[in-house]
Amino acid sequence: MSVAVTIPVKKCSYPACEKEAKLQCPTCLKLKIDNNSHFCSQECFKTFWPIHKLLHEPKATVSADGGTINTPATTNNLARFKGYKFTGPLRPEKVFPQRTVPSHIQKPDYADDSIPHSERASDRRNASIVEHTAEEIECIRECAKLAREVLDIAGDAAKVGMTTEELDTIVHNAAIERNAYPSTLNYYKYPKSCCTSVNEVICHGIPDARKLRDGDILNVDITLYYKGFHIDHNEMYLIGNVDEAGKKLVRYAYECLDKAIAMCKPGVLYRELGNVISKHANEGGFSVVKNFCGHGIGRLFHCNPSVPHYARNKAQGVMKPGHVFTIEPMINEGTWKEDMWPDDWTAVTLDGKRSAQFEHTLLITETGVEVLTARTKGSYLDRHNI
Amino acid sequence: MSRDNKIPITLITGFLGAGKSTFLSYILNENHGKKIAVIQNEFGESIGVETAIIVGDDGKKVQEWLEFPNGCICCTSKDDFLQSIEDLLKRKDKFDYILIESTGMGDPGQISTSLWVDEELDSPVYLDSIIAVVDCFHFEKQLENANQLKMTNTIEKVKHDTELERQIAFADVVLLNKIDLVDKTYLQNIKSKILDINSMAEIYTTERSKIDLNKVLGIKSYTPNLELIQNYLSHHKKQDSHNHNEHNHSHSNHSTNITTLYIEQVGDLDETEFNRWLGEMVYDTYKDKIYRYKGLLSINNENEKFILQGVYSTFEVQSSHIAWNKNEEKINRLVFIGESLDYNQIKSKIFIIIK
Repeated sequence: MSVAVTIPVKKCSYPACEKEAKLQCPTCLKLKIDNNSHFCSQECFKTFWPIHKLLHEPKATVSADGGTINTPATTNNLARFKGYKFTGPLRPEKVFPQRTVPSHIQKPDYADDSIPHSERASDRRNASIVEHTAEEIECIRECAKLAREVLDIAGDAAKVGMTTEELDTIVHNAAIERNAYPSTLNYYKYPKSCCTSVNEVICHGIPDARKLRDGDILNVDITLYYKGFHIDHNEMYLIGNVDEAGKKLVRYAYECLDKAIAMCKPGVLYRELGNVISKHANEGGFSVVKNFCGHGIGRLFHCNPSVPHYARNKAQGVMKPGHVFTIEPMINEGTWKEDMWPDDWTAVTLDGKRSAQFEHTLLITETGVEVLTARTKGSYLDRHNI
Repeated sequence: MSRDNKIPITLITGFLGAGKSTFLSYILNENHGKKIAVIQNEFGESIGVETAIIVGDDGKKVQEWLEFPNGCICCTSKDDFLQSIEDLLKRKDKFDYILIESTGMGDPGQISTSLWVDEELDSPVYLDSIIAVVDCFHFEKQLENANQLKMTNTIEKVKHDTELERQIAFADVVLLNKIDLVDKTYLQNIKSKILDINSMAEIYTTERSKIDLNKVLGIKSYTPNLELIQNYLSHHKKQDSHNHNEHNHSHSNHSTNITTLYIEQVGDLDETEFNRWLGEMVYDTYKDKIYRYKGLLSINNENEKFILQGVYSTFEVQSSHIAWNKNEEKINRLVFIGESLDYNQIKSKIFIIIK
């Protein structure tokens, strides 16, 4: 005997429409929002989009000193990992609430609502590469000096037993003391003032309660915003006693960046850098991450050119005096492919093997290149005895 | 992933009423046993979500939305549009073919640069070709309108009104539709006008968009395919010697400033030097003005013939894996389609590079 069952039919969420809904908004699907997420057609969806999209936004609150606290991204960050199959041994730990920045510090346009409006407005793929003026370059150099100081402070502090959250506190305070804004903070809702990428993390690791362990390789990536300009750089730190294989990986990552920088001068194509980086990495038996690139930087955190680190790329642009950009090769022990943690930031190697990275912000000069974020305290390899 | 396992993407452009939809429905209803996804592209509208209609081998249609990455794409290599297609592939079973119908006034060159992904990135899809569907009956009028408007209107409007020329300029294949409505002389005239704009295009005439699909799908227009490129080049050469005296190698059309420019020179090239020369041209001197370019190159110390492929600022020089014959003269051949190209300026520099 069969019984007729009435399945409740979802109505189109566009208020003026009574039709049966056949499609669900993909963003809602991902965010597990069911109410008001179904539509009958592309037309209704499109019409209602300006209002509908507000459903996707987490609610932001403003703290007493004018800084923004972004609540949902940081609370209970571990719940999102339920059912996730980790690629390596590293596990996320508690992420502490987002810090605030005093109101007297000049903030980038995304500091409050997390959306880099000016970056979005610029045509990332087709905009001309900015040729900075002498005055602009002076501000950029000032910012670079501060960024260098802050990264050195973080590097000196990183020790066995210290949490990456504590490192983030150090970086955040060091930036604020210098009247600079830590650029990553609230950039597309990124919750912290730097990225800390341990072992199999390729990049964009979020500082959390995890204590650094003997033998870890750690990347600290710092971007500062000062006088209207961003400067971005990162370095690897060996925590305690790192094995020879780990040291070799770090050394090759360093040399890859070094060799790419050595090529830079007016007239060279950005696409050429990947060939040199890939060749050196492959000689060491390592692979080059392909899905993350170096980038133009200046008044915007990320802009043209895109600087891929892999060989035979078709990236656009020829180097000219006044161009400011990063090179930041990520070199892996195993596969170049990555997986993304459910926090939507942490990129880890797909096989769980280790990854190392170095980054500088560079300026093309009339005759060659200036490493804006160059070390002031001796060569990296000597200092770390690699 | 080897290319044979990758899913081809064909971009279909054409004016409203040209027969694009008829062509699409002809493809979908042909008994080819393939699972095809049709993505309707509305570039320029900021909603960030596009629709895909997936037609199974059983002919059943399913509608899906493509999701554009909403977060940080700041330092990722892949274009948003490509990423959203890859995400669709993860959600759904495998397709055999992807067709993108450009419905808006989307720039075919922009879309094709988005989809022409670096081989190294190991994408499950690749850009196969661009097909422009042209309405023969209204062609002359549309082209004329465009040229009249060009004289008087704002840049935005001009871009809109020269869309027909741009569609032809970027096309690998032009389908001349509705030939039943025009006579032979008229048709010949249209063909020569199309060749003036894009002498590299393969032109087919159709009634109700019916054509042997093997001729237009899976033709690999963006790969270092020597056979295909030699067709283009010899075709062009023939054109060149028939229509022009030897001092004028550029096809200039009285009604448009989109032209094809052909250069040929015996010798060898240094690959880095050539790339830098070309880069300077397409990134700066002629930014957004060189639409499509191809070439057959002889690179220093290489036995194999190399092939150049380019769209706007994106280009690739790759080996064809076919060697030069022992006694063959190493002739470098280059074809550029673009607007307001200065033949002498381009020629003078390239002739220094070819040694």
